[in-house]
Amino acid sequence: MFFFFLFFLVPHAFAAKDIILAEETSVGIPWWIWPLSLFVFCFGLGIVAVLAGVGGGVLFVPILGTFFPFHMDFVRGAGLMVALAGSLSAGPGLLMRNLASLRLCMPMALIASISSIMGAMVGLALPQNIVRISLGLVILAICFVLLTSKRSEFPEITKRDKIAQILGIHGIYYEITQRKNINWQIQNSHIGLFLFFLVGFIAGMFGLGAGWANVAVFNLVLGAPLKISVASSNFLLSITDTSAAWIYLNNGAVLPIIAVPSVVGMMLGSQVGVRLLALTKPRIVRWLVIILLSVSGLMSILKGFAVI
Amino acid sequence: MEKTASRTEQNIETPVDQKKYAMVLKWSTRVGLFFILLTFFIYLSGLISPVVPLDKLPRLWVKNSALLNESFGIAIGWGWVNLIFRSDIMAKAALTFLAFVPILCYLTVLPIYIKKREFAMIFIVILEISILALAASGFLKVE
Repeated sequence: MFFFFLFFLVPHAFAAKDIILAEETSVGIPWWIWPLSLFVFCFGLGIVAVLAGVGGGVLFVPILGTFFPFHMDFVRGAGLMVALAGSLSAGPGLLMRNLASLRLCMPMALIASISSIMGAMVGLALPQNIVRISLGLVILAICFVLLTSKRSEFPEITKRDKIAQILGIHGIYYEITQRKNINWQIQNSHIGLFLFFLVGFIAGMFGLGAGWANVAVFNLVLGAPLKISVASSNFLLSITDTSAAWIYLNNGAVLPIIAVPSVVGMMLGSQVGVRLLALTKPRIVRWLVIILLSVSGLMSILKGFAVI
Repeated sequence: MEKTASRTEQNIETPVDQKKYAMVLKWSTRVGLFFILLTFFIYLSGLISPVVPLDKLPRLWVKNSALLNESFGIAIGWGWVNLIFRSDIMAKAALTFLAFVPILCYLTVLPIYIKKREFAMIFIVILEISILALAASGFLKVE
């Protein structure tokens, strides 16, 4: 009963007020200020995302949804395009250097594509306030994952499972820190497939990139080496985000005036971030991102209840 | 030592399917990003008029996508293609091209798996193409 009240009655009661407030914020300002500030904001976000080691998509939606006046439909549509453009650009290099594995990603992408389409359709059908409240809760859960998850550089695999054997999922890459080639294989494919279904649904529903979860599943569940996990996660987004992006595109939820400055800003910012990586302390940036995400998550919940 | 290391790295052959996928991905993404920038420039410069006037957007982007599209008679699904000669729709078309890229890549690697008779991979690739095509078809509408 409490949850029914929480998720269905309160958001509806405040939905109209929310739109009026957002309209007042947006209308007094000349239109060109918005794409310009989006570009600057996403440029900064691109730098921070690289330094903190998280995908730009996971920062984009909660922060933009909280601090900009756009409807969540357009924020999520742009968020998916940002994550898609980033992973499409990084993909070729990662594949050619054998860091991302096509055979590892294809079965996982299949499952995640199906669920991300489902997530996108659910997300677009729900009222904005419910999306804001659930996004806030998901973001707080992501902060918890970022705080607690451990990573394993070279997980030990005792035995390849059946699915991995049938699909020939294994590989070799050059580990520069050890100056040698590393052979890798995976285990627990069935658990991985189930988890990618959940991750895909959340990514599609909220327009988030899913790097925060993909890396953990590849590395800790499937047992892929950390570098393979990070690179394959990045590449995987290019397929799963595409399926969700189609739903947003076909439902008119991608506005070029929001998506293009965001995509360009984020891509340029990421390039600068890579150059700054050697000069900064990633741990401090990571903490800053967790704090920033927590604040956005809480504000998203409060906005959902129309408290702010 | 450096030389030995790079020789060792060179010994690792990138699988042929992965190499082909990467090449198509690289070039189609570059083409897509070029068109995104070009059409966005046309959109902002006012050279071609948009369907939704730029100065009206701040009143509209606070409403949901269904309301915005309804207000300007933009059909959901692929209906927007009829308005392709308007600048905002051109920019949208360029963004849409990016979503086509993975489908192109999958179509490129399919013949490799067919030639090698890798039935599990053929099944996965065909299913993925079908799912992406279904998502792209516009049949999955949210009312």
